[in-house]
Amino acid sequence: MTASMRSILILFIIGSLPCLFLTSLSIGDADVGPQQVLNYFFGEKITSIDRLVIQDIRMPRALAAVLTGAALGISGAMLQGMLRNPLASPFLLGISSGAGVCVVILFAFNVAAFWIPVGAWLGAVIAAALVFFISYQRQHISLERLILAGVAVSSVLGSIQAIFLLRSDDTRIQNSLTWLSGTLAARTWDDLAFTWVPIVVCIVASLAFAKQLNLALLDDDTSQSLGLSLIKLRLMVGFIATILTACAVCISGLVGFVGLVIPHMVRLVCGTNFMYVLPMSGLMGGVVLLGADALARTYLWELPVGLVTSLIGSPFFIYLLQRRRLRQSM
Amino acid sequence: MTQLDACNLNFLVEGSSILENVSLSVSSGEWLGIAGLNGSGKSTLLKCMAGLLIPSSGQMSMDGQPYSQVDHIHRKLSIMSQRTDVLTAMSVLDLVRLGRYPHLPSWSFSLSTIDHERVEYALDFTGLNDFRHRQVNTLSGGERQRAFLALSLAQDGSVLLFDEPTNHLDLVAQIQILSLLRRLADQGKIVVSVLHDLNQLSKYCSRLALLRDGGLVAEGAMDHVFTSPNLKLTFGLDIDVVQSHDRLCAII
Repeated sequence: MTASMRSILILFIIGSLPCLFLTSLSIGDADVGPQQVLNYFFGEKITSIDRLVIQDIRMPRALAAVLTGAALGISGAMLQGMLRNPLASPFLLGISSGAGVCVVILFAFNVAAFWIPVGAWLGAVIAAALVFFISYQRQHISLERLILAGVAVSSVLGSIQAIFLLRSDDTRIQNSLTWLSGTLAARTWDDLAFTWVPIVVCIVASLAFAKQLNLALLDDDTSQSLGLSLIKLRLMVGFIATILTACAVCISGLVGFVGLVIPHMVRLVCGTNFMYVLPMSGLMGGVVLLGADALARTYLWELPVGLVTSLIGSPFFIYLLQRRRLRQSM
Repeated sequence: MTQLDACNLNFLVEGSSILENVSLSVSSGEWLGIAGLNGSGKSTLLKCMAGLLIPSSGQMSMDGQPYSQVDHIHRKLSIMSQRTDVLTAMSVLDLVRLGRYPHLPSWSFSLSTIDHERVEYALDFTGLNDFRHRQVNTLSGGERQRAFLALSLAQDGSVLLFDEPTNHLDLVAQIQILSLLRRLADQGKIVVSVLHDLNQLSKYCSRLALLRDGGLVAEGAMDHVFTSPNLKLTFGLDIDVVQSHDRLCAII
């Protein structure tokens, strides 16, 4: 890809965010369209109901999509770099199963809705901490142990989750499955109140690790010889990625594929330098989730956004695999 | 003038000894070759010399100072490991630029003029100017090895360590890499490399360390160490050493 083509694509992605944001505010059951949205932003006259729909129903949902997408995109890019594994995703370290098992248990015991995101956050963080604890050995965290510990912890928590799902009644199963599929429906400002600050802080903090993540693309010996502390990098990147993913899960449940596919899409456009990959993964994550949520709302009945990202993400991932196979056969 | 000293290095893993009382020294302009059977501790010794492994006892020092007290040690030591792969489709230029990481201030994200000059020098020295925009993963084994050598050069250290730099390379690529390392030693760098080919060792290296079961069989100037008895002790094989033109040759 030529440099000018790359610049055009990057500008297109940057420009897509405000356009999709405005589109997202203009879509929904209520009869509030683009004209009312423009009137709202330019301070023109607007009815109180239209204002309520835009400001308190659609805007928190659109911002939730941006924050969730950005958090998952950056988290995925960091983990793929840190784990030296292009198949790594934010859910690899047991984060999804930790959050999932807590939420299913809370639904099973009919706990107040307020506690669902709190439980998801705690479950995600505790599961990731457990994975890091298991993989820590002699002042070293090996990538193989980290990935295998993630698989093992996910498997155990997934089984516990299945047991509680099987023991629940139909309504609770449906609530749990909707959450597990990832949804942005009915998000309010309260859902964002406790998560937007850690997400923004972690996004800024992630940029400080861009240089180290570039070095982590090399083998352990070479990167350490260049002054990289692998243990510090793995702990810090693991911590930031976990907080980002836990906050995303807290807002929207388990939205699949964004964290896995977005960094690959970004690398196709921007190359491998994490100075560009990290911010662009955040931006593209927000763009893709806004678009997916807009699509999820345009069907006869509303789909969980996580299903839309998986439905779009899976074919795209297959395309990437095919492309790589073609390259390797050349 | 830089001098690297290993003093009574011992390295234990779960009770078993990988290195035993290894002491050696190497100075600017010298090329130390390390040879021995598989599992004799060559790579462990190299990693101790690179500061990547902390010996169980004994210490590595540079110009008389223990590694832990040397300022900016990552600017002075570089190692090229046996693995020369990268995770993603990185260009040669981006790879070589990573060599400047130890020289960047922690708050800086861009390279200075000096950094760019070192990168250009490294690309030029290794003959990779025309390959700068190629992806590392699409290079041949020899080209990739030169790209990683350029990364080490961009680091601009006075000590360059190589773990089997000619592994999996054809004969021409091997000679290319070894000739480049010889030029670096001639320019005053300390070069240390693990090599298996005895004749390459005798042709290119000025010093030799022979290891067996973690202990040094012999260490010193090539002419003194590269002898039939030492090679017999190291490899357990009858190896004749003959003088051919200006260098020693091993005949198995």
